Amino acid sequence: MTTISADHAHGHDDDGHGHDHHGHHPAQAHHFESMEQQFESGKLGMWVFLATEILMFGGLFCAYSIYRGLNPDVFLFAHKALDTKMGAINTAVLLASSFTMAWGVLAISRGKPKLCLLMLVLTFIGGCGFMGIKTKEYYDKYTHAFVPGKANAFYNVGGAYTNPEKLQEGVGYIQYKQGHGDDHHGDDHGAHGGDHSEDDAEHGDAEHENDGHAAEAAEGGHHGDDAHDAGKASPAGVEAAEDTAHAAAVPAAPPPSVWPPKPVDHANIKTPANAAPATHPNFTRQAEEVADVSAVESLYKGAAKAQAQAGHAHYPGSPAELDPLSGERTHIFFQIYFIMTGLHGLHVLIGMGVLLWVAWLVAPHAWRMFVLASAPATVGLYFLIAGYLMGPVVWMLVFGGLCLAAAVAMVVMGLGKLDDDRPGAFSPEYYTPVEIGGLYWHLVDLIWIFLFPLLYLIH
Amino acid sequence: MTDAAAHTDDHGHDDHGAHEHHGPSLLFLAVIFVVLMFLTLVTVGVTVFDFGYQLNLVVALVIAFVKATLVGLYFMHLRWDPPIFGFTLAASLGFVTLFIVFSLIDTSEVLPDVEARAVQTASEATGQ
Amino acid sequence: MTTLTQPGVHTDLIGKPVTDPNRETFWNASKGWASWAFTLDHKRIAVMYLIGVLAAFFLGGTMAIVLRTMLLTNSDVVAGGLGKGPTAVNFYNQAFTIHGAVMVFMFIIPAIPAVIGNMVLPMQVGAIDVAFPRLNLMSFYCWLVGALFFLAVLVMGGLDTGWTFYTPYSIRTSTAATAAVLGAFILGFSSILTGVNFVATVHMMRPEGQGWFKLPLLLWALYSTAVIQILATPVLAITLLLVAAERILGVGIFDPALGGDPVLFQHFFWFYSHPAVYIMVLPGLGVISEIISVFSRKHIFGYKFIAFSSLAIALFGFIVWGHHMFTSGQSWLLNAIFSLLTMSVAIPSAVKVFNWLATMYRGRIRLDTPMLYGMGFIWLFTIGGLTGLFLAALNTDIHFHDTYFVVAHFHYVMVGSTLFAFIGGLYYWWPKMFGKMYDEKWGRIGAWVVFIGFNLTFFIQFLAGSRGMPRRYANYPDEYQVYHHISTLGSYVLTIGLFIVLFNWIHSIRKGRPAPANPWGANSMEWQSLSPPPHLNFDTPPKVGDPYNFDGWKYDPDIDAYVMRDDYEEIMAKGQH
Ligand SMILES: [Cu+2]
Repeated sequence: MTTISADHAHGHDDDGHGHDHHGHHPAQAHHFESMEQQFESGKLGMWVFLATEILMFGGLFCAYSIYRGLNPDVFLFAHKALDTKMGAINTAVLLASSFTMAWGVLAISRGKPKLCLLMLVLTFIGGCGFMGIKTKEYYDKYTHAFVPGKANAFYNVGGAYTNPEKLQEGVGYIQYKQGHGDDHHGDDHGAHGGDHSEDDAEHGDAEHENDGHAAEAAEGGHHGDDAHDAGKASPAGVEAAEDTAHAAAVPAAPPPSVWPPKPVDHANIKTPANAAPATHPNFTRQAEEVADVSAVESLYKGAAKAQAQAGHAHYPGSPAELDPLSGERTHIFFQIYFIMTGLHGLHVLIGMGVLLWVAWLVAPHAWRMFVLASAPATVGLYFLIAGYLMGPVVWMLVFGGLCLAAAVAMVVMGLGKLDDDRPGAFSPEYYTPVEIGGLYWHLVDLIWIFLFPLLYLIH
Repeated sequence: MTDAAAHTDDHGHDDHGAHEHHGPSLLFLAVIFVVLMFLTLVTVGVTVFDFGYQLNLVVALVIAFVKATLVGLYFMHLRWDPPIFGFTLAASLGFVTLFIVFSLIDTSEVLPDVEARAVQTASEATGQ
Repeated sequence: MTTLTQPGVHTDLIGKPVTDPNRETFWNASKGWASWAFTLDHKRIAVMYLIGVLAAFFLGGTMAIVLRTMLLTNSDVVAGGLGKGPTAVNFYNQAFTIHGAVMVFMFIIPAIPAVIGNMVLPMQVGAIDVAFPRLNLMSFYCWLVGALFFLAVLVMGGLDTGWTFYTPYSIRTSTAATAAVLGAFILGFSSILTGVNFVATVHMMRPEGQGWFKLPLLLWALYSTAVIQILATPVLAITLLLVAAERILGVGIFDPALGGDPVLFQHFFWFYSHPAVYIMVLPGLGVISEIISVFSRKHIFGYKFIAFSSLAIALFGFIVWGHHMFTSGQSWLLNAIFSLLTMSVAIPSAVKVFNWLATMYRGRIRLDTPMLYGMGFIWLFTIGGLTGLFLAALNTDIHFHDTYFVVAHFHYVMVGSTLFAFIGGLYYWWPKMFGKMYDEKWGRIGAWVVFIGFNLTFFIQFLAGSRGMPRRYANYPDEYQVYHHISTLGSYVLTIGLFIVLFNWIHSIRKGRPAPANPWGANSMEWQSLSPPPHLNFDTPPKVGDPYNFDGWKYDPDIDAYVMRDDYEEIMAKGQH
């Protein structure tokens, strides 16, 4: 028969959460039969919630897969703007914090609340480290106009780049990174010189390609000044030159580039209406009627992409080497990068909040104010450091100072409560919040485990 | 009687004290952590080798899956928990895969059309 | 109606009058607005949700009447005094958008799970509450905040994207689409939280002796619904966030002018929204399984088939979303795959219908109000389901796509079925919820008027659509006028029917006869509590049995209700018959 005990059914707890008086653990809610049931329910609830998180990020991974799968040259080209070293360090930081989190759960399940508290604090510091490094990365991106939204260096409306000056700087930066960042990329270039010519011959009509380049060069009126320009011209005949240029002329700094090759038609930029054929639901069919796909494809140097798809590493030197679709989509790499890492960062922040809450519960009463003080202390330090590095920015420094002052005040208040000898809330019988908070933290780590190679390690 | 309790029974763990955790030892966790760090190094280091665009992705994903499995099994206790939790995780990954695969089939099939459109708009934009 | 020897008194399980005038119920257990605003009681949350979704239904329904009235004429003369100039057409676009969005996100999706599910689910597993009462309350407030966003949309310039928010139009429109997608995002969280709660409750809170196959079929349906809510809604959340990001930042993932892919948006949207159709209809299927069995006084036929068909519908529902995109430029390979897969959903749906009919076969059918809605449901669900096959088949869909045929189809499935299950379910659990009986005669009249009005409104739309009348247009050629006249007339009849229902409920609350514990002789556990239940649901622990074995209860004409037999436990132990 049913196991709902009569005393439950008869108990009248007006707040609906009574800590009843029948010898149950004080943390047991009235609608659970046992601590075991409560614990497992909490964990199941958290796992189910984690499933929803995975599906939500799944949408972003889907968008990522599609743009990466269809426009490999974009991802090969644009991911160079990211800092692999920083990403790797952040992976390590997050893994370490996951380890300390698991250690914390182990500690509390063995009845060691103080060790658990220490581990939670270390985990929290890991979160701070991650967000700090992330901020640095974002700031670096920001200085090169690799930003989300319309200000992105590669922003492209209806086939025309809208931020030509930033584009120039952005391309220069990526080329610089390409030369400096990971040496092996340069090697690859050299090694595949031969393949290139073959592929080009196979792929398209070489004459057409040359024509296309000539037309473009004439139109842009920029060709032929420096090594990078050579890199941009990729028809079969110039291929070797290109590779040499890339390998040899590793620039010492982002050089003045020849970008843009085409004059940007500003009339077009202001009128997204020029996308009218594209917004028509049947645009694809219309386009087919207008343009013979294969002919135009070769005209527009799909070679880089074809090679990438064929499995050869070829890093386009500039967006000019991308086919038109990839040119339009280059900024989307950055949009996806920022949305994915931004949403992930938001989860890290939420996780840090959860950690703080759990730590507050774990800590003996005498220490709780100190735990609480770490929130304004963290925010304050963050704004002080960021404000100093970024400028200095006065309002950030003032705000940071205020937060630190609040933290100090809380510590002082905490000092007055050191004689409170009540223990923390958790014991080996009840530590559900530590466990499920930990699950959340590990999920944040899991997502990063995928984000890191997918965004930073494109090859 | 709850599912989870039933599953625990199935697994034949003997002690059913309220929250006796059949978790890992600290040493074991530390070993997992070291392995995870090592795999991170591997996934960065392996980019030195050029297996091709697709294969490099596969290698990176396999390493990521191994890492994720380790985190899930040991840090998140799936190894010792009722199977329903792991099933929830696997199901969510399965549905994400379904979503990605179908969408990818579609977008890759219509890619030539979309490229043609891009060529057209590009030529219009530059007045060719 | 029988003359009752003890009118005006609540009675308990064995028919004894409940004399204590101060008996504690969940209605009077605590007082003051705060005791409602901060309540963790699933029954009070259900009541608050009921008021909310009925208000949303009223808003969406008003829009429906407005746009049906505008469609009475295709001339420039009058339609609500506006004529059919650009203003009127704009207004029409907003009316159908608000109608759709409010009905879908604020009414149909939460209606049965959040109202009936919240009320009944914990009691059907004999529990005091759902697993996470605080999340339950949070779910309600998410709903409320999301609803406020939609109200804000109405003030801030409306919305004219259609409920589907298709890009790129939803990126460009000057109406308040950003607020609307954020509102729908928050409403999605409300839905997710309900789902998490139901999964955990069904898994963890069942009493000993109630295995998975002793669950009332409503719980199988709600569980399957929760699975969809958990797996699909997050994708809607990220989709809407991306649309908001498109509008605010211009990220371009779905915008062709920026190199994005608008068809990708449709994949995102329908990955959620096709399964969401089953969020809307599965709980209704569960409600109907209860009603059909109880009012046929017969054990449900094919319990396991119905139970697993719920899960099957939930899972199949995830692999068919592309049938909304047959004409969007989706690849032909995928079109063919999705067309084929869509047919598979027909199987579990048909399994349910056949099992209900087999349950009714040779049963002692009581044509009470809930049963009228139950039978109406079977009718509408069958028509809606079978016309779905026309739309699943590639070749016919090319013709029917975006016509009134589609409108009629999904109104039969989502509105007809869900609304009928919702009203029928509310009538069925009304005595438990409010502790009052309703007027049976007016209940039946209302059911007939609603049924006739609904069919009058929507059946004709199949014909209009198959002859080419496109959906979402304010104007039409003269030849379609007769269809629109009939449809609009039907919508007025439907409105009258719904007001009859509403007045019957209000009358019941004010003047209704106090309800017995078990007016229908049902055997799921919520009927073993008094009507309305106490704050903690049961005064004595309920007894677990087969929910469709009705032999343990006998009819007592004195109180017009069923009372528990003395040998109830033996009957349950023996199993059915
Ligand atoms: Cu559908």
